[in-house]
Amino acid sequence: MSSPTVTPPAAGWWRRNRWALAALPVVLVLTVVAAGDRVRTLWWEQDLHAPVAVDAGATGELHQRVYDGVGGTMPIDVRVHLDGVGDATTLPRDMELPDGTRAVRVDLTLSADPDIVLAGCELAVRDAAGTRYEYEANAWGAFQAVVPCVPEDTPGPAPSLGDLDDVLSERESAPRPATWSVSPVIVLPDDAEVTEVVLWWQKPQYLQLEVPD
Amino acid sequence: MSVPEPTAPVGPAARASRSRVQTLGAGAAVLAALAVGHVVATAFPVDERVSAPFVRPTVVGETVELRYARLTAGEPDGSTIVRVDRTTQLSTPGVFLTVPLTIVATGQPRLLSFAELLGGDGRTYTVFTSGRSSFLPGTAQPGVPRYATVSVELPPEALPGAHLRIGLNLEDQRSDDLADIDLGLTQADADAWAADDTPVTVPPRSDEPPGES
Amino acid sequence: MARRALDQPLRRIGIGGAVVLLAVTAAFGGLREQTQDGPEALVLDVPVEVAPFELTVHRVVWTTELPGQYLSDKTNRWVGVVATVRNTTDAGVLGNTLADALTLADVDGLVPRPGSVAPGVVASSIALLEDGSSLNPVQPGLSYEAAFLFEQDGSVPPPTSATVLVQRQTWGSGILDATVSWREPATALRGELDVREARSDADAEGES
Repeated sequence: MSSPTVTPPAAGWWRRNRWALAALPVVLVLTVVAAGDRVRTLWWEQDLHAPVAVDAGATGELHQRVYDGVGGTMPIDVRVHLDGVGDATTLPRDMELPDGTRAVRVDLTLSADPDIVLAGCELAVRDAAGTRYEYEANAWGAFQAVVPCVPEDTPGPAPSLGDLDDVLSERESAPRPATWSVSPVIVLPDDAEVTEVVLWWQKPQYLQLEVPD
Repeated sequence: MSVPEPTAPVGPAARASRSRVQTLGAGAAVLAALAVGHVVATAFPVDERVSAPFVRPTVVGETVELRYARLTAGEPDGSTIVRVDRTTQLSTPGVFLTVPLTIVATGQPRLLSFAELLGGDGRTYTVFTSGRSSFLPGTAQPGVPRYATVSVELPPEALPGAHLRIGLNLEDQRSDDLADIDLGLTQADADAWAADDTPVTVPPRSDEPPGES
Repeated sequence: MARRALDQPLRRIGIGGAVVLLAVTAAFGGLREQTQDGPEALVLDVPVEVAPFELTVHRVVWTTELPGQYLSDKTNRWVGVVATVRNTTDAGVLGNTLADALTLADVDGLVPRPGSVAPGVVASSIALLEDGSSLNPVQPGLSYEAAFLFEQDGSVPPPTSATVLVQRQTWGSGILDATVSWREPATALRGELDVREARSDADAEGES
């Protein structure tokens, strides 16, 4: 039996715990990632956080996979051009503007494959301070198109409702053209200056279109 | 850690008893640490304070700035009968209290949905989105005043000293602004309203000031 | 010492563990005398305290028509339990909590309303006798005269008797749901009550 070797005490502790010490940074990262999932569901996906900025006069493209409501995802592939934003000279039928408000018309030209599901699109305008004024289909006495960014007569395919598809009869409408224009009207306070138009299907991604002068 | 390892040979029995003492000591230290941690975590009532809403006090006629809106309460009214949306008439063994509110959303469209009444009797009177005590102002466009009326059914003794609380989220007011409106009601109001059978009205929500639509 | 403990037969450790466990429950009232064997008898016109309410059941009637109330099928009928309701807590509660507090059993052809864990069949609506409105929210400090309305299949003969179950609820949070609310309806009283036809709609509407 040889006499026991004397190791320096400090090195002994680091040596004995070397595997735990090696695992520690990995475990810390895993902890943060696991807890961070809430940041995604409770914050990131709850508002418009990921802009696709489009300069005035340019055409923007949005490519996104969005939840289809029946457990899968479906693609949004769309090109959008902002033709202009101006005071609505003729109001939608039966619209009555409250005191201190005005109506602006947002002229958009979009292109997409006729098979792409574009229902569920939302539209808003923003002022320089970032305040967001949203398109309301049924408000101030008027009924505008439910989906502000597809042609009312030829909206294209509706999202699948799963098993209900067999029960519901296919709505008869001509296919959506490859390129089309829409002019939805948004009501906002008199003194609000529109600096950009925003368009989204599923938060946080959105198209941010600068208003041409 | 700074204790040097003994260099003198130690008998196996002594070594075993020493390691057992060490194990027990370590176990006791872990238990003690858990106990201390539990005491520290529960001794101070911080949980409620951390998640408490930010209460913004105000009075009738005075605008209060909230994170999501500017809110002004109008003159409260009361009776034993309330007429809701011009169609439904309700009567109560107590009193129906109505408070007209003006909501100016800030930042983006806002759907205020929480209301409750803290009675002068120390009880809390629940307000729901529909039913006999209701508040349903709908989504308000930023900068466009939204007029909506809260109605609460309560016993007359709760009226003197009552406060109305208004918040954004029906389910969860934690860590968000909450308006607390001192309604300035007295025993005289309670007596008068409890004996009154002229209906008070809850007009439909509107972007036009009440009385003009 | 630990070694000696481990040498014991497993069965003895199990028995010892069970004894220790039972002894520990004494700290939470495990040895307290059981106060109640099943539900007590429900008697007409006697107020009963069932958190968060005080309920006084007055009568059970059936009728085919009630103004402002709509049957899911025109040939069906209403079975109504007329009661005085008081919220005995310091805060208003919503109508679904009241619906769990009084349910009906032993009546053929009751149309069930899904979504409740309360025993028996839950009322499809609770109408105030005064104005026919739905009793929601139930505010503290007020006494309401209300009819718990249950819908019965019209092809079944009208009932002559029905079992009314009155549930007590507990304020707390669930295992999976952290929100605090009135939960776990447990039958505190039950009564087999006679059912008669409402003499007129006005009777069910409370002008008696």
